[in-house]
Amino acid sequence: MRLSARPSLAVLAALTVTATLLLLVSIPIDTLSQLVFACTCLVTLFVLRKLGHLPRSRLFFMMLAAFLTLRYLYWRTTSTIEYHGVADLIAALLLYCAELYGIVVALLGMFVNVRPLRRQPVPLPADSAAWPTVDVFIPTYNESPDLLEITLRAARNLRYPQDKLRVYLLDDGGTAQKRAQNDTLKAIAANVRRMQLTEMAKRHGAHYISRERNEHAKAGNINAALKVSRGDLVAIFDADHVPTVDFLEQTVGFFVADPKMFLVQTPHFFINPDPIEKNLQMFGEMPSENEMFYSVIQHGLDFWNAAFFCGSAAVLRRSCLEEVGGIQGGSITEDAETALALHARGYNSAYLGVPMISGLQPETFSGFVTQRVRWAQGMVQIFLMQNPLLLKGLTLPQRLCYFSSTFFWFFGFARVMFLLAPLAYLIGGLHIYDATFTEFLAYTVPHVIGVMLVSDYLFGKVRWAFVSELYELLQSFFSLPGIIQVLKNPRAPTFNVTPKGEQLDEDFISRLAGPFYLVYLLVLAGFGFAAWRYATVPLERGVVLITLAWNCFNLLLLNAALGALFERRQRRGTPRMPADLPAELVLYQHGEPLHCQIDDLSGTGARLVLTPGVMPRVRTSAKAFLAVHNPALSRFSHLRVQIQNERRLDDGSVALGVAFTEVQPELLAEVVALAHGDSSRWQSYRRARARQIGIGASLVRLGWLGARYAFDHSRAIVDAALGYLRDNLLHYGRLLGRHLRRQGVELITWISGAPR
Amino acid sequence: MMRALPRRLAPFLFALLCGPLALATEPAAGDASAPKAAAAAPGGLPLSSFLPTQGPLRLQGAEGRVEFSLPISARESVQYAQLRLVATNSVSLLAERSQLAVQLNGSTVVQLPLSPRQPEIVADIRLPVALLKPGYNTLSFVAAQHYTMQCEDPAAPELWTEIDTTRSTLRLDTALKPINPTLADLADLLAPTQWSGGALTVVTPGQPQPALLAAGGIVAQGAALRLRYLPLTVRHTLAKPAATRGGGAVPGLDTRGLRGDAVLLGNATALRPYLAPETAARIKGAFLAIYPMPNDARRFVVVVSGRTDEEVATAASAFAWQSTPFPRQAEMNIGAVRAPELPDYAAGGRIARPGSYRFSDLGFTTRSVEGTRTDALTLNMSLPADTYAPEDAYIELALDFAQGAGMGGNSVVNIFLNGHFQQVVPLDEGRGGLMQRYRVRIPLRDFRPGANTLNFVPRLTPTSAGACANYQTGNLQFTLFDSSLITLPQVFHFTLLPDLQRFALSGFPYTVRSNGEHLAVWLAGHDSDTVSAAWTLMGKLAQRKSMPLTRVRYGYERPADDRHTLLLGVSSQLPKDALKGAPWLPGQRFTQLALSNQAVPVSDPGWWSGTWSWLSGGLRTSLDTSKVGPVVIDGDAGLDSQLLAMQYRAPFAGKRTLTVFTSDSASALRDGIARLIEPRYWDNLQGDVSLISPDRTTVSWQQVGARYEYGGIGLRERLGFYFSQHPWLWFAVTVVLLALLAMVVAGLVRLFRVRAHRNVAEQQEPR
Repeated sequence: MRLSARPSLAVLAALTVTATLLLLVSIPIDTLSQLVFACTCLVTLFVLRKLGHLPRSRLFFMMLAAFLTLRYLYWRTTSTIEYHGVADLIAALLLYCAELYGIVVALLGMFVNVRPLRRQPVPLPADSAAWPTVDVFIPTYNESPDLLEITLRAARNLRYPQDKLRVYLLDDGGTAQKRAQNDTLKAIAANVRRMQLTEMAKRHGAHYISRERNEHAKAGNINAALKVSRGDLVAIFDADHVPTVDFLEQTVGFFVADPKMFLVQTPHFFINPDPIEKNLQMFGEMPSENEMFYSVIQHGLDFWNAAFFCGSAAVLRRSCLEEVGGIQGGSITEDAETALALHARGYNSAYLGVPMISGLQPETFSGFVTQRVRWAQGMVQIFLMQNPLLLKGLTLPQRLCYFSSTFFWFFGFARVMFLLAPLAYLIGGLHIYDATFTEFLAYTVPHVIGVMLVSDYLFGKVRWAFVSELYELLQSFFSLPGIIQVLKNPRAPTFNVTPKGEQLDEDFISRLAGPFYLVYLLVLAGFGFAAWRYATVPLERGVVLITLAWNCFNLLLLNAALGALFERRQRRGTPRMPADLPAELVLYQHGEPLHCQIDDLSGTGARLVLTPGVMPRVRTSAKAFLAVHNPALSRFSHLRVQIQNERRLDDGSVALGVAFTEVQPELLAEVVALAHGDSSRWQSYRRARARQIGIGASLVRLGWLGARYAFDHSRAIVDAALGYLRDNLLHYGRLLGRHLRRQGVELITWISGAPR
Repeated sequence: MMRALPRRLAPFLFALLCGPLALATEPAAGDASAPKAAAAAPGGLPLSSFLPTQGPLRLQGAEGRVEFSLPISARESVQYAQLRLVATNSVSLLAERSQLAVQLNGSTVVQLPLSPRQPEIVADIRLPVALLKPGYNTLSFVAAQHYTMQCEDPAAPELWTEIDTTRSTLRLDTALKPINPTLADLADLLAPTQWSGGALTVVTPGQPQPALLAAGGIVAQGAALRLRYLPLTVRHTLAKPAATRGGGAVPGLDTRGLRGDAVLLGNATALRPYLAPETAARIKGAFLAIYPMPNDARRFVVVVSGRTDEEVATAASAFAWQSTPFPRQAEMNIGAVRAPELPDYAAGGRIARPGSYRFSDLGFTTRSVEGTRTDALTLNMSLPADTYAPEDAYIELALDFAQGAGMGGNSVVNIFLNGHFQQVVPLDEGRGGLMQRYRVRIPLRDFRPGANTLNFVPRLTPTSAGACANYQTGNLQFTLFDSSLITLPQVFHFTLLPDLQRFALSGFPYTVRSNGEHLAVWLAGHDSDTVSAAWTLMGKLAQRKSMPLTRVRYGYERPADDRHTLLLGVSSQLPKDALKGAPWLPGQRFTQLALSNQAVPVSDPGWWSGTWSWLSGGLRTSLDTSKVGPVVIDGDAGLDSQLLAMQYRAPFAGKRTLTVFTSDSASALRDGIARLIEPRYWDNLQGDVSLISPDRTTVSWQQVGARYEYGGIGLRERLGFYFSQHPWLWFAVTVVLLALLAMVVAGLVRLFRVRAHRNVAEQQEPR
């Protein structure tokens, strides 16, 4: 019997088997038998993983791990929470809630990723007359014109019939409100900005739009633009998100194919490291932090028709937006809220996993935290005010997916609990987890390993093990107060613009490091208390050892966190990304084209590698022409360059650093298309970065990097302290010397009887 | 008559030794048996026979103290009592200040100096009989021990005296008093304090038919219940007319063959030849009466009668239930006995249903202790024999207690369950105070089926200690209130049978129904010895149950209805159809252990197993033994005066249990049962085959037959039970179910894909 013929029977069968399995989850088993069972399950998971046929047994693999987790949850709920006093009970319940959070998130993660949908682009109709008109919105608030010009130019480079494409620069920095503000200098700056951007937009064939008042932040900006534009579709790019030329070709087809499609979202691809990657020197080696979401989770959400709008790099249908009153402004994550509202009205979304924008991440940890706290607060606002489990119109899978997406952001609470829980026992002596060592081995360890294996299987290529824990830990101290603020007053948070394109001239310790020092010291103290407890409470040695191991893990994460909080300098404003393009360099007054390879590339320059013997011994000029095939434009581009530096490599080849010069609007189009216009370049880069190293290797790597950069961090503290001491000693030494000298002179004068 | 200390009551007795306050309310079984022996043996009995454990008694510290309980029956008068004391004291004691006092009921009988020069003490001490009272008397040894004239450490290890319990003896010469009994005196006449008791003769006018068998069983139970823990041997004889009719209420009964007290049982018509005419005329319904034994005024005879068999049964029930000293009359006509419907598993001190019970409900009364080494506070409770305890089930105590102020920080109350340390309550409130509902959890699995003893042992220390510290113990106070609670979780009644140990613990499964209506007693022979054996056994079961089983069905044929059955008979008379499935067939087949203690020799467990053992806390290792079946021998070996007890699934009654007691002759069966009910045998019944030999003091037992489940258990618990035994099966079932679910869900996901994303083209890269 085919399943498609009798789906209700299959659902019934699935429910029956699930009920039976839930019964098995709850049966009271001897600890030793549980241990045997759990070990066998883990061995099965390892064998399945080793055999390499996981795609075929994907569901079984996840379900087996989920069974271990549910078994743990049942035992944890029924057997490990005991009353030993009010403080103990409160601490125990807090830890239990944190664990419950982790389990719910893990199980929802399995559901979301049960069958990721990796779409291919839908081709546009052959007759371009049938193509919808598109308005490109580039909302801006305070970004620099240089940054905006790249994005604007790239938007104008989009391959789409010009009569169906209009590009709008939505400037919230030049509104009437800004221009009329009381601070004269700021008002003048706003007027100047408006003039600059108007001229720039005109220069590139785009339209400048501003509005009267800065209401509802980005959502209000876009909604204001919706009123003065009329394209069928709206493509939205953040100011620093530079689209590739094929962006509309790849996305618009979905709207033509499905009239109920309201959103096509594409990944956010970043060409600079986030501060944690940068400070731990892991950029390029390790998959970026956002890869997990854009390479796996959004595909999973898409399968359940729950892929949501991420604020940029997306195309939306105007009519749908207008139906719900434009971009929603109830929360500060207006993008997800808008998608939720439209999903609830029965519209569809699609996620195309091809990176077609190149963006910038915050350069500093404080910028990163600003961004993440906003996300956390916004998603919690949605959780509270429009809870997906209760919102009408959603399908059950959509409810679970949105619940997963919003509930996830409570991680700050869980992470802080996991950090403090071992200390509550080691230092505070609180009994927060009533279990024997054997029970811990039989229930807790298999659950943890099972969850890690599933996580490694689902996300291993795009998120190394324990990296999530590090990122969550770094955010938790700031997102938790933010979440508490939302819980107290869901409408309180305001939209804070993420700072981008900052340049850091020297290494420094992040100003947000304070709470981590305190916790670090507590964790270190925990080791002392552990030794004391081990020696003085023999009956609790098993518990002490477990807690000690937990504390070690926390120390490892904190080391990495401290390393990440030591901000490295970042001089280059426009990051260069790897490239592999053949080119010809023509030096002024030389004439002969020199074959070279473009090794890396940005909007302002490139690195060229010339094979040995090609470069003339005597360079006649620093100026040159560079002829290169521009894949985005499918033609050769001829660019004027200035050679900035020259370096001979070990193999005899010569590396030239060149800057693009005399970049006029037409040439800028060529440069932007060359540097940012080719989506296949981003795809290959992303693919090269996605590699799985395994759980153990990841732990070792993180431990090593953490230790190394935490050491740098501590050395910087020592240096600063010594510098402070030195400066003060010198200062006071000089004062003392001056004072002594004056006293000596006075003494000599007095002795000599000379007049004063 | 010599009688050994009932071992099952040893912890109870131990508590008594340490707790004089308990004496008034909780007498010990062993104490009761000792005086009889002491009286019987010319030199008296060794003190070790009074104790739960062998070995010397050690009086430790500056104030060492141990106590005994001496029961004296109300119907006996003590004529002479002597204690021979053999002791050894430490040679470090200071002669000037050290002494050993012997006290009887708190009065010092003798003081003995403890000298380092003469550390061996041998003293014959005559105990003043005037100090001995009916009931339980306390014999105490109190040592004052010092090693210096200066201030000293009262807990110094050299402060000790040992009493040799083997060579120390106690002799009591007693005699029965003449009696003129009423029914109110039954509690004194059949009391555990008497050492002339332990035997009762039930006289019937003819071979008892089932109705009379049942009434006799009830009478036997009533007598046994009055003796509480003292084994009662019931002997059946046929009434013989007296050669010459004397006076009294039963002038026609020949009492020459009767040993001890007797019960005359039968309907009025049958008893008429033995009763005085005026007595017979007073039988107007169920009739219960007590009279002095003709020709021996120190003994009594109880008449249980009625006009019909039903009235006889009613009279027997009245005898069995009567426990208070009322009515003060020798005869009583009974209209009806209305006993309440008791829940299953009901028994004295037993908690069977989930819920919270006050300590006071279990017989505990509020008690206070003072000082450094105080007595244990004992709570006795009992669990059903088939309690199935999942690993995560706990019995919870909510203790109400008060503690003194200014005690040392290391003061604690240790909690022992059946002698094993379980939990501790720290008494670390420096300012003292009252603690209510202090929660302590003990795994249900640590409790035994049947009787359990929880001992709360305070160990209170002063804040200052040492030789010259200002040492006072007045502040070392601890009170445990009887408002404390013990909470039984949800439990299931589920176990594996056959198991004679559970039978011995509480008569399981025969006594689950509190009125015995699921129990049938099947006698394979009609002789008096077999009847005696059956009644003796029923008396023992009633003692374990602590109430009479009045609806037991007795008979000489296979029980017609579906009941658990006790079959008693000579091996050659046992019905063949009843032996179907029996582990042993006397005269045809028996078994021998292939390996002693069932241990399978294994080689060195190796590093992995050793490590695993360490990790798992030694719960189970590769050293676990597997069971090896017995050697089966077919032959004509019979039972030579031995008693064979075997239990197996009744071949004739569905899921019921059959326990067979048999021997090679009726008298051997009767004597074997009389031996069986002695604690040393009864408490060691185990397995499905137990063999008691007259020349051995131990029980030989085996577990050879097939086991079967008994009781109801929820599905979850049943699965838990099976999967705990077979984790691999659990794994297999789980994997199969998960694979099935994965397949179905995969199909549904595919279906969803087709419906929701019909036209979506996907990339081919692996997911």
